[in-house]
Amino acid sequence: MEGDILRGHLDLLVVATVRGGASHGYAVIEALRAQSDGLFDPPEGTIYPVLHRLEAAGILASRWERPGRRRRRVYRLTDRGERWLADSGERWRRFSRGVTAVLGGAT
Amino acid sequence: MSVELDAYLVRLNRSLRGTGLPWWSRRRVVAEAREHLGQVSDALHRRGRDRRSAEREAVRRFGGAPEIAAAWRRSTPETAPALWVRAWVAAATTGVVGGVLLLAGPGRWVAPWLGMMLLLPLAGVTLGVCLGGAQALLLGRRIRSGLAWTLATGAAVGAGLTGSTILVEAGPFARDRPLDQAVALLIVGVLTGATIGLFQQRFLRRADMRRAGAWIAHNAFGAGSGLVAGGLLAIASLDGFRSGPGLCLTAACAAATLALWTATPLWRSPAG
Repeated sequence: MEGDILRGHLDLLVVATVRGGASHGYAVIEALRAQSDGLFDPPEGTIYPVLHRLEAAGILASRWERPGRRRRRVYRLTDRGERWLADSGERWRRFSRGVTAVLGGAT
Repeated sequence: MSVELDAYLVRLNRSLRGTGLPWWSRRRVVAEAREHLGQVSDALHRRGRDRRSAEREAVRRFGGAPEIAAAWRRSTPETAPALWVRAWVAAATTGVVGGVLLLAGPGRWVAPWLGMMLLLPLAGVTLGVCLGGAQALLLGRRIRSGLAWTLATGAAVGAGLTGSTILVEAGPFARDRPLDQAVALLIVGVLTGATIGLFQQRFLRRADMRRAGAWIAHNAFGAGSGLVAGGLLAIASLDGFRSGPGLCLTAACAAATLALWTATPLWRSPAG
């Protein structure tokens, strides 16, 4: 997967994985990797700027938790994030349909 | 945590210094990286890797420190304009209020001390509310409780100006020694602001004001600028100090305060 293409859609993918239950950075990376069959595999540390940016935008909220031996910064989707995900997801699906239709006509 | 992971985290922290992240955000980023690396190396270790090899693989997967720093740098440009907006708002508001005070200052009132007692706190609160309101309006996406910021800034600058009035009128600082007065006012202002910041951080925690350092710095600079501006303006108005070195000192203090204020990356604090 080209890094630039992935970078352009990383916000949406990260929010979708948090919505799907991934609650900390490592879990988000694991979910991205697993759900894309290994197609999305960015350097793990690059996920944190995305998480912080989404939190600054009010789409995610976070806090430290200690479920076991290790503490974790746990992220969750805010109400605003839910709306953002619905809007962005719909925009992406429209865009994707358009690209697919154009490519279908060209091949 | 091994020496190798610690060394990586030190390198990461050093690389993050050039990204524009404030120190408290860097500390959180490094803490998250530490936990992430621990989780990954634990998982790899459980799958049969020896501890050292697991940690090396965890670092490799995480990415090189320069690469991570570059990702942070790409992620932060959208906050850069906020710096200039903030500087502009601070400069414009300070200029307007300062100009009004210089031109129609309390020295021209019939009873100068009464004028200062009324006008300076009023001007301080106005200045603070303008700054806080503008911050909330322009940086609303990052500052989630605009009213809290407005009140905080108003309280800080107002406290500073009120303090300066009391000190100039009834304080121990001789009015003919403006430099001593300015330094003393600045110290008291910063302490006042820090105290107010601590209280606000405690009571407004639920309004997303989760960073004590940001609150303290915010209010320290607010109250400090209020005190210095108020004190020096009072001297300027009362003693015909307007055209002499006092004006230069006032301008220097205002510039220094503005620089400190601008350099404080507060827009990250609510989310931080």
